[in-house]
Amino acid sequence: MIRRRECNGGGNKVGGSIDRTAGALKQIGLSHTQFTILIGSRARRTQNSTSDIDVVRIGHLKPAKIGSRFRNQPISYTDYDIDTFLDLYERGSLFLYHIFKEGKLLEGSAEAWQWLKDHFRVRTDFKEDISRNRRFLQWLLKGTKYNGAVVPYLAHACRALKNLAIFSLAQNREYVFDKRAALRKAFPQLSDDVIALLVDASNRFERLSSPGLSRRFVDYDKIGRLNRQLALAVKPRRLHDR
Amino acid sequence: MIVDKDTLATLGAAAKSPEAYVSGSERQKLRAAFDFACSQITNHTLGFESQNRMMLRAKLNSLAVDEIPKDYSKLITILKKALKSAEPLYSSKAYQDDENEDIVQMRKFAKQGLKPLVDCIEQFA
Repeated sequence: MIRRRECNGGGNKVGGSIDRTAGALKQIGLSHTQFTILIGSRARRTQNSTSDIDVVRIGHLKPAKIGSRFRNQPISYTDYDIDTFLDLYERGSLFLYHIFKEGKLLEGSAEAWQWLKDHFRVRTDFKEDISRNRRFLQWLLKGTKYNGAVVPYLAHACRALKNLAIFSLAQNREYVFDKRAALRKAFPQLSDDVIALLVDASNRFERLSSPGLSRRFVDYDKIGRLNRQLALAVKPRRLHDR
Repeated sequence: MIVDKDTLATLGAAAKSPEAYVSGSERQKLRAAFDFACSQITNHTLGFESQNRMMLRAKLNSLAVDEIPKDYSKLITILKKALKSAEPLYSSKAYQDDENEDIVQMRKFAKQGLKPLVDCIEQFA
């Protein structure tokens, strides 16, 4: 169980704070540690047959030791050297909060991991992240960028909208990290059909292995309808969203 | 036009000032614009859109010379080079809020990959 503590501020690096965390770990005999963590749908046990295996590696680049049932499935790695990890830790990164909250430690000291979880303070001000993703979506909706680039267009729309959803919810102290759940919760006006199309395209575009493109993607009427829903979703709703 | 106006403008601006595209929404824009441009180019010249970055690269690399229309052979060669040098665009994932990026790598990508690509696309305007 994570003991969630919060801090304000936009994530500026505090001088010497990395050393403080590293020093504290050293004091309790947990320095020079490495971690491998399973995250995403596999960690939440909400995977389906096409789900990737998402793994975070901290302080090393060795292949993850995963169970035999996952063998032959593509692994998508996110890697941090220890300094970057400690920097994000001190800045209260929402992504690290996600890892601490839902991740399953595969390798590394359980004691050190627990210490890090117990002392983590997630930041609470995500206004900048919200505006950044909103600005991007507004740019995306201009013109006809999807012409000749349907899957990349939908994949980028999905990624930014998902980020906007996760950060907007986090701004209200709601922490939802599953793509579909976050989109549904943050943007109830989006139809299931649109969410399915976005997530499907994103999975096809981002995955290491991907099935061929179905013709149903190349449907500009559908993209027109989707864009109208997106335009409504990205409109600022509250003062802090602007 | 092989690549839509807005996408090409974003690539052109990034080729001129890569430092401005190292983080934040500008970086997000550049990454998307590059993906859109790659797909729009292959759609226009070879008749297929990108479904996945890795598959696009693999498909381009597997093309025989006679499968590429002569008028576009230079563009496809430059596109392949740009794709090869685009790694700095894809070095972070999900909603990570880490914006420490390598400016040197982005400049290298702009000079070696992006600028030649933008110049070549503009020749078809």
